[in-house]
Amino acid sequence: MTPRTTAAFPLQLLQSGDRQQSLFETAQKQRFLWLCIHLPDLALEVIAENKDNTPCAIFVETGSQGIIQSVSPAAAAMGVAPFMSLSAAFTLCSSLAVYPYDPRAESLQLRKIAKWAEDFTPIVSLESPRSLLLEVQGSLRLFGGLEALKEKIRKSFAQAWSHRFCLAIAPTPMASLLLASYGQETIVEQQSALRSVLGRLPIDGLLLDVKLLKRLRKIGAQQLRDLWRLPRDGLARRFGPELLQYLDHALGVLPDPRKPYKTAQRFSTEIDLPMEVKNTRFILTAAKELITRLAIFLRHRDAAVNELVFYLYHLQIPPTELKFGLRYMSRDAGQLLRLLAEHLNQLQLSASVVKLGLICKNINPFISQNESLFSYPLAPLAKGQGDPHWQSLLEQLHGRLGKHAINGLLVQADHRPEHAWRYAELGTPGDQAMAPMRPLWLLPRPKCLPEHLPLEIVAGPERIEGGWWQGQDIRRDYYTALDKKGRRLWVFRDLINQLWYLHGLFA
Amino acid sequence: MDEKLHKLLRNNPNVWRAGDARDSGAAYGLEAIPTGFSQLDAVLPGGGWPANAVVEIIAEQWGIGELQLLAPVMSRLNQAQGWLVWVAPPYIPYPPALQNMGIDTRRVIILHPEHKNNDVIWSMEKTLRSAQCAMTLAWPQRVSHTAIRRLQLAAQSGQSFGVLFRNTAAKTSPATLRLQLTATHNGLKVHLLKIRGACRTDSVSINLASL
Repeated sequence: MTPRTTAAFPLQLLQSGDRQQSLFETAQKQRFLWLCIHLPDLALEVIAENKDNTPCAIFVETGSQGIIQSVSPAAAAMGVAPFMSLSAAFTLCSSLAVYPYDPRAESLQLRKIAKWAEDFTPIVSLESPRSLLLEVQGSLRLFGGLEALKEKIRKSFAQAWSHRFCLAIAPTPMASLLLASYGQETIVEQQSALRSVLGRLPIDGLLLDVKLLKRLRKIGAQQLRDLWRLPRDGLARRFGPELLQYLDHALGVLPDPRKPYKTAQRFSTEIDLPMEVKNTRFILTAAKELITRLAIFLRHRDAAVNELVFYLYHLQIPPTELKFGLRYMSRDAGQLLRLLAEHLNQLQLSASVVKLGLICKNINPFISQNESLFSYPLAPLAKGQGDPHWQSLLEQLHGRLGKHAINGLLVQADHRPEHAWRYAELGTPGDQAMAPMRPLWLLPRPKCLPEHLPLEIVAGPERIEGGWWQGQDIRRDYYTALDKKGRRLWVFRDLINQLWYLHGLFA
Repeated sequence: MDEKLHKLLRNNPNVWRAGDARDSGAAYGLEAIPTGFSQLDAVLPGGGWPANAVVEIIAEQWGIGELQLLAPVMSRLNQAQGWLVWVAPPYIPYPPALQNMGIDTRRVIILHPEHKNNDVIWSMEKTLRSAQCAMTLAWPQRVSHTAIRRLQLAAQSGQSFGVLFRNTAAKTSPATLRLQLTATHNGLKVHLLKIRGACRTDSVSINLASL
């Protein structure tokens, strides 16, 4: 939204009544609010942790000499400052410990913090090298307002991490980033207020090309507001469109989309057991902790899993792998634990376990299902596929017996007995074919009968032919026969090889 | 007797009253489901299979008509939207024949545990306990008294009907009802080995050829 249209908008609204007024308000409410966590000393803190009292610094190699990038408070007290050359720094402080800048360690740490920040909002964006942007508009209601949320994040951060940090909140990502990097702990809620708040910031720290900054300083611009006073077309002509774009992003005149940070789609965790354990009940208790962690991980990402791999580590011998799949995606800790208990009960442990590990690779978006309001035995209302108790039962059967042990049945409209049915997924609708008299037991394959078996034929023959189109030509005469033991058999004489076969039993 | 005490005794299904054992609905202490065979209904207490219990069916061999004996109850429970579970059946329950019997094959589950007797009993207990399974039929190799007692409790809590098929008859069993089947020329001879709540045994001949 440009400033010009925001100015024109209220005039129109005054003319066209309350409904549009409320629409305007909702449009205003739906804007974003970005919280920036800036970590000015992240590079130093990652490498030299807990060294507040010793003078140390991070340097970068530029050409032949090293330039100080950031310094510890102790070093700063000795006069060492960023952008100083290494030799100058050593002159000021001979005991200075210097470390080369490690961008990898820094970005790794930033990612860890981003993972932590996902507790507060689903939209977290990495702003390399040392800032995080959190979109908090959507989380305001949950955390009870902006102030409360900010305090919660501040407290939680101080507990979880030992880094120096600065928080700022503004309607545009660039503005909150600028405010935080200047160390200004401000909350700006209205986009219209940005101009005056940002106007006071010096231009030195703008994340722009160093040469461009120098040229800006040369024309006498000290603060951002000096730039806003200059004509836009002139600025664009002299300094290029990037500068204008940068300023427009900061004010929210131009949209500034950010790429959300996504944590790895893989979960892995471990727990050391306090002693060597062989009893599966104790292992299950420890595994509960792992599953709880997994459930929290999944809940934060609104995800679910359908395969878990547990590793039971032993001393000296390779770990036992316990892998099990689920029929449907799940993130229910109780259900996963029940399944694990089933599997552990069947497990024969050859050695005692010292450590447990859990790895989930296949993490997918969670699709929620309604659970019934009343517990099941009281109100068996819907006996259907979507019922969670039923699903949980199938899950347990699937887990213990294996996928191939559970079958549904299907009738196929075919007159050949072997093709008139097949195993299928549960609940698959089949054909409605009214077959003539058929036995309830069918043999998996026809069994050849010896010649001269004393059978008393009571019904038949029924001739069944066909299948030549599938290369399985059959020509059979089916009979119902009684054997000596009183069983009613469904037998046929194969007209191709003239042998007798048993194919079913009228049970 | 005190009227209140009398009422209490009468309404408690766990109290067996010798006086009203024969031909009264409360004989098993349970509801009864009609078997679909009038001769059999006449001798079973309450006039049918005991609902929410486990029945043991004993026969030397399969294929003599044991499923036809259960066909009416299977189709009745299946049509009431319940699942029909078969655990480790000796042959394939042939779907066209099931359909002819009025069973919806979409609500049939066949479980094939890999020859582990424990798995058969475990699966049966799980499905009996579920309110969604109306009836579970199982063909275990062996089954202990403790297991049958567990299955009874599972059937009670899940309100479903269980049938255990066995080739040999133990002398005693905790099952609610035990039947021994022998084949006759045109049907079955059902020998009642045990009826809980009734101290008698009977034999009934059932004609299956007409089915």
